[in-house]
Amino acid sequence: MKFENYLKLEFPSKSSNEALARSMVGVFASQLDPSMEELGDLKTAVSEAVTNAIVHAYPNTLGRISIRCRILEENRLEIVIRDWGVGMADVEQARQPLFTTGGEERSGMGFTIMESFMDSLTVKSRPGAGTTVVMKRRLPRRRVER
Amino acid sequence: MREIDAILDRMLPVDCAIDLSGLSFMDSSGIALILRIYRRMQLAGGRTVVINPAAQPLRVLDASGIANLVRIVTTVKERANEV
Ligand SMILES: Nc1ncnc2c1ncn2[C@@H]1O[C@H](COP(=O)(O)OP(=O)(O)OP(=O)(O)O)[C@@H](O)[C@H]1O
Ligand SMILES: [Mg+2]
Repeated sequence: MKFENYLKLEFPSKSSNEALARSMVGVFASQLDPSMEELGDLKTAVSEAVTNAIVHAYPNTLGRISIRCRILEENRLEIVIRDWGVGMADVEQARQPLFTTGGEERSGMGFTIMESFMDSLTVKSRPGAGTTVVMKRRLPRRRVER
Repeated sequence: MREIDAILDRMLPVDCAIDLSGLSFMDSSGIALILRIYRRMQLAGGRTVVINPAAQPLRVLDASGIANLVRIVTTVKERANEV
């Protein structure tokens, strides 16, 4: 697949890195000239995926989280968020609205929010091996190019 | 969460208004908190309203379906600042 630009990030699963990750992706996405609403959607989706890696993938340890962003053809932004944590046995179940293993602190709406804010969401996971979340969103350029 | 519980236990409010006007970013962690308050208020027969969420938190409230449970109130004054 042809790409126009990319960014790779890696950081430990400290909760303070969630805000950092979403801001960095926001800055990278800005080259596609998104609207405020589109930018907010992207940051929210990143926040959900990174928070999941922090709280679910590495519940009692600090682990590695990586983010790869690519700008693909037709102004499509691809964001890949990966961890090497506990993984999930049943991804389909995990993606159901309100499904959570996080108790009262969590609402089980993370994947639902990622789905509704992005054009596509793919989740690959294996228990003990980790989780990869791939999301894409097309950002139609609003700037008039002459 | 525990702090919220403690406050609700102590104050035993009839209704609860959650002022989000100062919040610029919210994700599903915020949804869990609002749901928590909503369920507790339901038990006591009280109402929950969310006041003046900014654009991004409002989209998250809508996407999560929480907007169907709690009333979202936007005052004219707050909107005027956004225009
Ligand atoms: N990276 C991950 N590693 C391991 N398990 C995960 C991961 N991401 C999600 N899960 C599992 O999928 C469930 C659903 O995730 P989702 O983000 O939808 O809800 P949540 O994180 O439980 O709650 P919320 O996002 O609303 O705070 C989680 O409770 C967890 O069991
Ligand atoms: Mg989550």
